[in-house]
Amino acid sequence: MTRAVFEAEMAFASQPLVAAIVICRAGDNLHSGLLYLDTNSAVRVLHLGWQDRLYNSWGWPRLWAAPDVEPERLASVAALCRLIWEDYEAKKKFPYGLKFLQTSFSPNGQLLLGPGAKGLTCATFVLAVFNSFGIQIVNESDWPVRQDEDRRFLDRMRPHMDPGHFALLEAEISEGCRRIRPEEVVGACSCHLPALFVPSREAGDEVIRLLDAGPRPA
Amino acid sequence: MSLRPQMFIASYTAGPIWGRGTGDLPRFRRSIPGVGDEAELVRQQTEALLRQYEAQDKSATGEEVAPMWLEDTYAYCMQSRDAEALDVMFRHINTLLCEDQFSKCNDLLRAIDLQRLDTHLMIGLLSITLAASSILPFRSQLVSNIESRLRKLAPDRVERLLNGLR
Amino acid sequence: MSMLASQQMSSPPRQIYPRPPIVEAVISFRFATSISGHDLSEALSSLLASQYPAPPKQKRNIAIEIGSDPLDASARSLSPTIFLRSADGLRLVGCSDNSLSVHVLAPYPGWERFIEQAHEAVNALPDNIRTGGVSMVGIRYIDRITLPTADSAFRDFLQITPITPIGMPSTIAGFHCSLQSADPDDGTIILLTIANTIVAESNLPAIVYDLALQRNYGTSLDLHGTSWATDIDILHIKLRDIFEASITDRTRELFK
Repeated sequence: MTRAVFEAEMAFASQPLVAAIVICRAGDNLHSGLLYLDTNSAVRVLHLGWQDRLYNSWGWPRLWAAPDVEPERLASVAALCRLIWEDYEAKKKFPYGLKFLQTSFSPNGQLLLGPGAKGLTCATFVLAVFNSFGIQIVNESDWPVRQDEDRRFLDRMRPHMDPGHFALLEAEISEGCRRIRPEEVVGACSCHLPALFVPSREAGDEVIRLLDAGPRPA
Repeated sequence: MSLRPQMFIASYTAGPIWGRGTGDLPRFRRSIPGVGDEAELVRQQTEALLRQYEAQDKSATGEEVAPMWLEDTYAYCMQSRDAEALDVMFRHINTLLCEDQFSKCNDLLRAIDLQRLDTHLMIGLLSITLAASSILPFRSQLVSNIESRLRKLAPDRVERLLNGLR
Repeated sequence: MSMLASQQMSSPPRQIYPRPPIVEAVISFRFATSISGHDLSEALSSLLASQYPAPPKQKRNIAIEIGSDPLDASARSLSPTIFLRSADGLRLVGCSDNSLSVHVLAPYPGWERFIEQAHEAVNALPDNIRTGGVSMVGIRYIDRITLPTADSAFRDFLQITPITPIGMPSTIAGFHCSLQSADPDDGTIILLTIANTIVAESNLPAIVYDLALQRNYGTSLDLHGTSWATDIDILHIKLRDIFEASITDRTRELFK
């Protein structure tokens, strides 16, 4: 397992693991994605970003951590990220393994949620990718319902989202869903998996502290 | 009477010489090489017939040929180019699953030679087929076979490697 | 008594022909431990230098990809096979990725000398490879049965030529048949290919009879003991029985 570290302090490409979870602060929001190596060993970040589109690049400082799984499992996740991006570019659809999301993409690449689909955030997208390969980063049933906090988080995300998607997420919050936050997903990487809420939240607070402090000078 | 080899295919599976009849026959890849002229003759004839066969509608015979992309996967694996090997494998298996070709995918799982895969590729194979595990009957046997291999290759890590993939 | 052992006891006495039709015999191993063909050849060439002094030869292995259009084909190079060769070129050891093959070409030296050649090769393997064992052993015999005259009927010499249906001339001009089966009792896989050809030197017709048997192991078979040799011996007996059941007495006369 790894504690979160800035790219500037430890370059992802300089160590042997090929997939990890990355987080940044974008204004008031925290945003997460999947850090991985492509077949040319270039570092990529797959994330669900602006206007519910998939992106393969990341313009912010990177604070990253790898979950506590064997290297072979991370290699598979990296390959899945490459496949997701390839399918997104070519066909605007998710690979078979993410069928449970019941989502696809419009011709211009925007997320389309099918009937019965759950709303996706950047953090739950990361969890879904790991889940599809049998890697449960968090024990969701251990998470509390935090409706007020979640509504405040959603309000901050509103300008970046499709109205229909926003409405779905809002309804889920009202129904009492357990929403996992980007810093908790990264914090879970320093815990035994599937991570429980308390240690993930504590580690997530540390992630926020690190983000606010910025990378240590070289 | 012309004695030039005018070939036609008489290719069929037969029951065993000994014992009872078989059900599902295992795939037999021509894995014993030959160096002489007659071995080369057999190889060339077989290849020429396979080209004709591949051009026909395979559904008419109901027989599947192990896909050639598997050899790419094995070759990349042998060269420790695991990322490329995984990409080839994931791309093709994902296509089969997205096109609902579950029977073909199941046959593929039978045809894969685990001896030619390293731990990365075996874990990758289980990962990419996890979502379809309930509709790939051979997958549970594959898990068992891979577990046996992992107990030799990485005995201290078997449970962590397979956690969530069974 | 095991099924295999009882079969061994009930098989007819071994026929030894003065002029056997064998043009190539191969004993093949696939290792459970990874080793490149190059490393394998390096390891063996020093230990077997006296038996295989001729310069090694390399044979390219190509994976052919064939599209739906017969003209749509591409080839990729895989790792080559490196052959260690005897001085007369009639005995070879093939070193491929994770595989070893032991070959003899005509004139066939007899089973005892052939299996001894395989023992020499196995004994020269690196210790970790022997310890890791094999996941497959196999044998392949390729025979060329030259028919006595240009108008000889294939059916007079082979019990298993294809049957022509009514309406089709019974004289067979050419054939290529492959049969595959598996023994459910011990998992032995058998591949028989028969085809006709013409002997270039004499312009006489001939039958190519290519029979291969392989045994796969779920858990690998150690190469330090003699179990592998016992299993190959059993495969050899099966192969011999199948061959004898395929030919006629007229064929046997050709081998005397």
